[in-house]
Amino acid sequence: MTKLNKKRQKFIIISLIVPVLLLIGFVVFPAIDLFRMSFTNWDGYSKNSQFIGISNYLSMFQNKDLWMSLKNNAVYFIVHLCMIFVELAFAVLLTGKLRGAKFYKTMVFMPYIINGVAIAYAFSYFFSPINGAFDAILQSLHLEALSRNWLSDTKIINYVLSFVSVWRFSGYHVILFMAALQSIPQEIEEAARVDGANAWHLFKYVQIPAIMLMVDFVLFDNIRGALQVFDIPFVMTSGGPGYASSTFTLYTIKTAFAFSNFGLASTMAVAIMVMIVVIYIIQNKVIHGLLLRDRRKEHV
Amino acid sequence: MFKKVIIQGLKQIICLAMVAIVIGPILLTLFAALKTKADMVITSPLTLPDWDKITLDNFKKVLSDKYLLLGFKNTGIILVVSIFLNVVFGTITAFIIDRFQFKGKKIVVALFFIGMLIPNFVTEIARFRIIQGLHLYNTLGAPIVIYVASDLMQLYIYRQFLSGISVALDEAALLDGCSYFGLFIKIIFPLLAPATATVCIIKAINIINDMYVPYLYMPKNKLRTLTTFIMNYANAQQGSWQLLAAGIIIVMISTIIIYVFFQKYILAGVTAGAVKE
Amino acid sequence: MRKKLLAIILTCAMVTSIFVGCGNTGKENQGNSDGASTEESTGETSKEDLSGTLTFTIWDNNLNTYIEENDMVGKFQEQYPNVDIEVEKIKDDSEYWNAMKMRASANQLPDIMFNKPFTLSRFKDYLVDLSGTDASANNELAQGYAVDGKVLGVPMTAGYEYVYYWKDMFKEAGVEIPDTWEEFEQAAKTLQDYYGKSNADFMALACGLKDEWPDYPFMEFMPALESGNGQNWNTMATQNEPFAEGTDINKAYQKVYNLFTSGVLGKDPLGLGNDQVTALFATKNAAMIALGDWGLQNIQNGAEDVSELGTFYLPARNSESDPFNVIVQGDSLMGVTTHSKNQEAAVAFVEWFYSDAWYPDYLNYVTSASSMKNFPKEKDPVLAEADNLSPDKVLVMYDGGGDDFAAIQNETTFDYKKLGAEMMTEGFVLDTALTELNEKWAAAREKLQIQ
Repeated sequence: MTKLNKKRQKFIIISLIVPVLLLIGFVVFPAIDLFRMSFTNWDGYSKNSQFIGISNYLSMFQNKDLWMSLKNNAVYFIVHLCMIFVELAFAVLLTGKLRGAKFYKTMVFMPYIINGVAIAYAFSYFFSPINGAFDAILQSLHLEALSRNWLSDTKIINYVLSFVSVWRFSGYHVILFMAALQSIPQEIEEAARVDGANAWHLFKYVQIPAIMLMVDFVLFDNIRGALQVFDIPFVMTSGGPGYASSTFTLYTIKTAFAFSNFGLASTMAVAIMVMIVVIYIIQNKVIHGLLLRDRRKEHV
Repeated sequence: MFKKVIIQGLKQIICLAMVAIVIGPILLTLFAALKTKADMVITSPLTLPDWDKITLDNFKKVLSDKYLLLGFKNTGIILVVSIFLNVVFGTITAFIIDRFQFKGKKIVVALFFIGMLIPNFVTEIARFRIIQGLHLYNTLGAPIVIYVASDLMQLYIYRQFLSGISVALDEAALLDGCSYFGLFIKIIFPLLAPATATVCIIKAINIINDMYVPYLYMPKNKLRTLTTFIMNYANAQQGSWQLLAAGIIIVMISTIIIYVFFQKYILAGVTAGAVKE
Repeated sequence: MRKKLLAIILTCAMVTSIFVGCGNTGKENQGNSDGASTEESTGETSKEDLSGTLTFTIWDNNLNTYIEENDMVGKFQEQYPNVDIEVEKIKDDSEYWNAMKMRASANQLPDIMFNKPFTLSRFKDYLVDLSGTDASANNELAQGYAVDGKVLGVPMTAGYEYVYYWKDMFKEAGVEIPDTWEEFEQAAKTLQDYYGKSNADFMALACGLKDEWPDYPFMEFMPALESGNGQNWNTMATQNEPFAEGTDINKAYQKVYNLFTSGVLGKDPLGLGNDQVTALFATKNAAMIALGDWGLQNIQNGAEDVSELGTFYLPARNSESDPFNVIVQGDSLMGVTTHSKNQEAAVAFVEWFYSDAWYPDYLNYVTSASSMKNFPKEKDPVLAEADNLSPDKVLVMYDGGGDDFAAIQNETTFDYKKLGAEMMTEGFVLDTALTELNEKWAAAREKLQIQ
């Protein structure tokens, strides 16, 4: 027994040492440094900086534009959250029996293959007010009346940008869900079918619980992604008009690089991390609560 | 029976709609790449210009750039090495976290979770010093270690698959006198093949498309990657959408070729070794 | 393995170079380094003595193409055989500053870097004084950008700002080339009315405000043009209410605001980027566009026929009796960093770059004007038109703002380029925005204790 234990220990240590060291060196240590910087007034390039206590945190909370930007992040978050159901449905559809599934599987993933910055450029032309493709499509469908200033109307700009984000990232989530669905042992699904389960029951009681780990990840990735949107608004609108389509990360990067305030930017980065964790915990409670309640009912 | 046909038809319609949404912008990008700067403004974005006005100049210019080949080479090296390491470390870490109880496990799991939280743009400064300390600055090693160390989505994929593999299998193998490494290499790793395929594809795409890490850590012209190469056409003052569009299409086609090749051969090879099915 | 090999080769190379260097005591090449008062001449070193690898980081696509097509490294090595150069090309200038900031703090700046007038004060602690070099002595603008008497960068070109316009369109609409701001406004309106009727997409003045930065000829330079004070930003740093009524910036922004909101920018300028509006201008869907000399190439690339293309200087003056102020700025200030391990070689490179061996040919390749007294250049005929139209122009040398201004700007997050785009948004009131800026400005000055 002890011999086995020793072997076990050796195996664990040998296997984990490199990944953990890498993680500490390139992720954890920089994170600690980030936390330290959030209490300084470092400008990002001078040789010295002063410890200024929590004044960065105070000035962050007083920054109107920053919290305005956070509202825009919420748009991405909600739009993507709604899309997760669609993505799940697509994953189930494409892993089931379907003619041409292979082709569709490749297609759904296509947008994710293209560079994000390039996509943002492509869509600035797509939504261009002059000779723009989207307006041309509306025109050919005789829907000119729906035409708007897609990139400068502050009421819709964030939805336009979220659409671009959905176009780009949905395929990624579908692929993840498909991979997870593959991991469900086929016996289980067959057994359920024999028991007379229809597609909906199968989805709800077999597939979803079985891929919960992946659903969790995608939900988490959604929070992370929504709070860190950067490329799309940066290229397509520079966060404008004004700060109408700025995001928390865009503002943070601007603070760090354009306004040379790394201390304050670090504080904002810490805030992003805290928000990710808090929203994740809340979301987890809500979603697992819903699922568990459903299953409890089932047992009764 | 009739109902089944309708459902199948509906499914096809939904899928075709998805295809249209996906293809549309890509097709328009291709059109842009076939137009001159002036035609881009004059002609409708939804159509190609007349046959005699189609220009291949944009493609010619991108294809004749010497950095294209260099970009392929550098991106290729980074891809192969970092994906290999990602798969090795990813599978083994997920295996241990999923199947073993040990002292400090909670800390390790917490570390990996923190790893996913950190917004990397501001932490880059601290990371820069480490890369420099390891003498990796301006070498291909810099992006490789960063891609291996950060973005840990593979752990989730592997853990998802491990949860579907019966623990009884491990125990039987161990009773048979298999060592832990033997168990992992001979049994677990092959069983994870489908997950590995997904990990490889997603990682490959993330790496090909990353722009910030190569710019920051290996700015040398000799170390251009595919993305830093095409981004020159996105220069704010001197950029050209037509050239960028041609660059996007070229990189996209090569990525798709890799993807198809991967699915067909590598995946087949890996799954052939798997016990499952 | 590979690294080891490289190290061995490098060591060998170094040993040989030292050995060779000892042989020729530096007498025969002494003449070449006469002009330089830096270590270079005092060390009595020869060109062969200098060795090592220099990194040269740029953002300009044209410069990169030219460097490669004309084998810059090879040409440099004809004179300095033991110095190698690694060129690093970054996507564009904004990406460049981000990377340079990261690298500055990590002690990893390239040997030779570029600055813009507005980044000079940021990097001043990392730059070597070049005031003793020939390059600096022969440069028309270098002294003007000296910080505390030190020349930290030698401008590669002299940057002028133009308004590009189509002569035939002006003629058809019956518009004369404007000489004052009022005439400029009027011209824009006339053009918009004339062509806007038949073409809903028409822009009298094209400006890609989606990207924000393309408004810089107005938002960045107009305050300096207002009363000819190139040091305008620095002056503002000494005032508590620089945006108050009657100040240069207030007057300038009122003008810009009235122009931008008069509809002459077309139906949706906030939805278009610079690349798009340049292409639209090139195809005569716009009559005017304000860009620097670098813009000429972009316009030529997009236009089928440029025979009707002309330029004039932006007339910011109120009446013809006021001086016709025109901005000139040193563009791309080449400097040597303190992180360089081969500073002597790096300085030698700067000297070489601005010498007969390289600079004149490069200059002919680009549309920009020369910044070197010893290599004057005929302006491109299209750009020369602006000079012919305004023989009485008064050059205002633009300063991007020193330390104090930068500190206040960071503290108040005053972003003039963004402000220009904001002018076009609903509910924007210029007076309120300026009052708010005044308040922030005074608070920042107090906090930073700037006199």
